[in-house]
Amino acid sequence: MRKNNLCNKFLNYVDLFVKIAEVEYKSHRAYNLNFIFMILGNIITPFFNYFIWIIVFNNINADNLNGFKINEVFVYIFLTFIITLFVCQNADFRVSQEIKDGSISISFTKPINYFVSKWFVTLGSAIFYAINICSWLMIFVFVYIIYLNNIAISLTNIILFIISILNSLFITFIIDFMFGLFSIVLMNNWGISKLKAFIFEFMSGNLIPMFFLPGFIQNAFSYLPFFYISYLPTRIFMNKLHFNQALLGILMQFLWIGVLLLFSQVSWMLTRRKLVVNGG
Amino acid sequence: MKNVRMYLDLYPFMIKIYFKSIMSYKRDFFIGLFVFISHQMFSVITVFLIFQHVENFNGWSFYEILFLQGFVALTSSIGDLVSDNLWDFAGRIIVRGDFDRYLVRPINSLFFILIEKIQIEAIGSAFISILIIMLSALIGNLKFSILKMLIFLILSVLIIISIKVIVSTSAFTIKKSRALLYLVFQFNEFSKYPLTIYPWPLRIILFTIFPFGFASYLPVNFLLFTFEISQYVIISIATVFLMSTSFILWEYYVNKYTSTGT
Repeated sequence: MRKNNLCNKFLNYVDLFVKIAEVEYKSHRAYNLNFIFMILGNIITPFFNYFIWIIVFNNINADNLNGFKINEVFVYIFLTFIITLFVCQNADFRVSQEIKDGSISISFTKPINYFVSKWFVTLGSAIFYAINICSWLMIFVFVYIIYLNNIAISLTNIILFIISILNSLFITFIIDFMFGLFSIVLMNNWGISKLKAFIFEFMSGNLIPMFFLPGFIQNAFSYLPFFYISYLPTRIFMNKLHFNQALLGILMQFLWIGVLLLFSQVSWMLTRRKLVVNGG
Repeated sequence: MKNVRMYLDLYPFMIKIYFKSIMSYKRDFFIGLFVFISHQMFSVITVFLIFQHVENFNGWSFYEILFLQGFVALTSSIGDLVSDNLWDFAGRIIVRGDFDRYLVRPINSLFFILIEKIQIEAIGSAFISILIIMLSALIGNLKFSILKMLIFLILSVLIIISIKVIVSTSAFTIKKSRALLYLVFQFNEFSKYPLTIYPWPLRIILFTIFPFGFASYLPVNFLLFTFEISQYVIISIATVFLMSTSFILWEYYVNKYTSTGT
């Protein structure tokens, strides 16, 4: 009897979180025009990067840089862009906004874990992006690859790619969550959100493609979680890694998830006591 | 004349008030300042990395590119400093019906929107850009007249602000134009490098639909490479055209404005 009760409770929980994700998914449809402009604005960035780095590539005598050839630059830049679009759901902004305007205090009265509920919000938003934007952009990439016939795509790689981007989504969410908690100490969220965006863009190889960076910097970055967010899935997809290396990379992602989970839970425990909500 | 005096007195007063509100979140402000500055330093690092691989970038040397980037960063940071509230205007002032507030004041509504908020953090990045410009000019031995640079700088800032105003007036019709403003200003990224590296359709766009070319590439190109009187004329015409368009559009829409029902 007791077991059955527990099972029911669990199912209720799952049901609740699916609802949270669903609500977030639907809320994205509200401001359609605004959303389209936003996405169009973002799509300009990879093209800008492409124009810059293709000139650099044209001036280099060697035909490849760290294993990347000239006709693969576009795929690299566009793939990292798609992954970032899927992964960056700005959970830090959601958390810090709730801290700033005080609505986080309601979540203390709710019988659900704050961290888990925020994760499902992120998931719902990510699914929206995946279905409505990333899938189309991926088709574009596929057509481009088939047209140029420059990259061998295999089914194993695609499966590993999907696993690794799901991991990246979770890693990014945990990092974002921790950055969001900074607002408890700083009382505002403007500077810290800028800082997070900057660190993320630089260290995950979005601003400067990772293969352009000097070897020692790449080496240093490989000890950080950002290295595994978009660079690893991109390399898996573009067939730059052996099967074993890819598996090792995904293992590293799981390791980082473990470490970051621990950190985030501890910091949530410590900072939630210091929360100050002004006014009402 | 008295009117102008009032406007001039109002500006420092509003700055003082805004500075106080910023200083209530001191630590966050300094983190933001730090990020602004590191973003700037980062663009220098990017150019440095590029020049590790290439000797010249479509005919532009390392210091010339740095000079261009410093100029672009300086214009856009002064633009941010003065007209940051337009982002809020495009994002929520119209949607929430707050615009009524600006109409009952005895000063021009556009002027009041512009002075209400000043992005103090942009001073940090403006400072760094001036440093970049000076260093690249000194070390790279670039020859240009400082007076000419100041004139071009003012014209460029006016162009940037006019584009911002023109795009944000679309909020009067589509209510929330922040994303459109973002989309348009993403094109300003292209002006960080000489426009000759881009394919021709993009270059045409940057001189017609999104005329950022007049605010960055053209003046710097004139400053560093060619010396003719017609340069002033081209950029001045662009500036006057954009400014008058922005004023006319603003007045037109303000006269037609009907508040939201909130």
